[in-house]
Amino acid sequence: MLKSLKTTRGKAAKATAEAEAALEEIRQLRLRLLDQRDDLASRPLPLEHAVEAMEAALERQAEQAVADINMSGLMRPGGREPSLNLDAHDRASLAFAAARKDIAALLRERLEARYESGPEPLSREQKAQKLAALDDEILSAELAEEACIRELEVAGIAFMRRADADPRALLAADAEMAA
Amino acid sequence: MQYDSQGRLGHLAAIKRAKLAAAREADDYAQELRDRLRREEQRRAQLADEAVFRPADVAKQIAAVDEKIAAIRTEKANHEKERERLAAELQAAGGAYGAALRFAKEKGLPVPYDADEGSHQQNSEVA
Repeated sequence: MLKSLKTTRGKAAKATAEAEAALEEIRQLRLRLLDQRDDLASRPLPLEHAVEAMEAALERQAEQAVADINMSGLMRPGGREPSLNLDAHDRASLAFAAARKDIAALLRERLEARYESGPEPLSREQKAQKLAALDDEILSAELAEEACIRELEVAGIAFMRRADADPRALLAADAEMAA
Repeated sequence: MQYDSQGRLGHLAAIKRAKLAAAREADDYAQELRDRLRREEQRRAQLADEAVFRPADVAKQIAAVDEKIAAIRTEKANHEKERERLAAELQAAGGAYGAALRFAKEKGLPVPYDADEGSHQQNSEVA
């Protein structure tokens, strides 16, 4: 009788340890999925997008450089010698505006080099699709974790939920756990 | 997804309440240990005063009190770890319950009539 009890207790302890190990495995899987999500979210947009953004930014800066110049000294000199009254900043801005095509070529080269050694770029649509798929997987991991905790609770073993557990998993009906 | 917001919130609230009760009990016991330690330290100070007049009689008593003080300090240190563990569990239970309750309210899901947010916070005690 005593031996039988010991065997049963041993089995229960083993089952508990296995359930806890399974839960830990699910939690590790979730963490790996979250890492993948971070990696995916930080992927750059394709090179063409970056080049377009760079050219648009250069164009805006060049327009601003010219717009900042006071032309009235040329249009209404009022007897004085015509002057633009350019300070060092104005002169640098104008030089920048005039050379913007060469600057764009330089920056494009730098961007190309960055893209060659950097992570694989993704379009907005691709990124959204992949993120949605990963989010589904993360939710599945959260549901599996919650299911495991509920099973342990039914067996009389309390296992703490994470404070940052997904509320959808916490509130899911038992039927969702079986799915 | 199908939710059982009332049932699940009720369950999470029960866990939170149990953790809160355990954390409060641990706080009470920590207070009891502090009181016991203070009493024994006072007793030791009294004995040390008496030792000036009759050192032979009091030396044994002081040694006994020192032993008690050491034992209480050890128990206090061990209990402090347990108290921290319970506080962490309460924090986790409260966090899970609070997040689930907020989600249920945002989504217009039914919540228990006595659902309360943030009541898992216990009064912090200075150890």
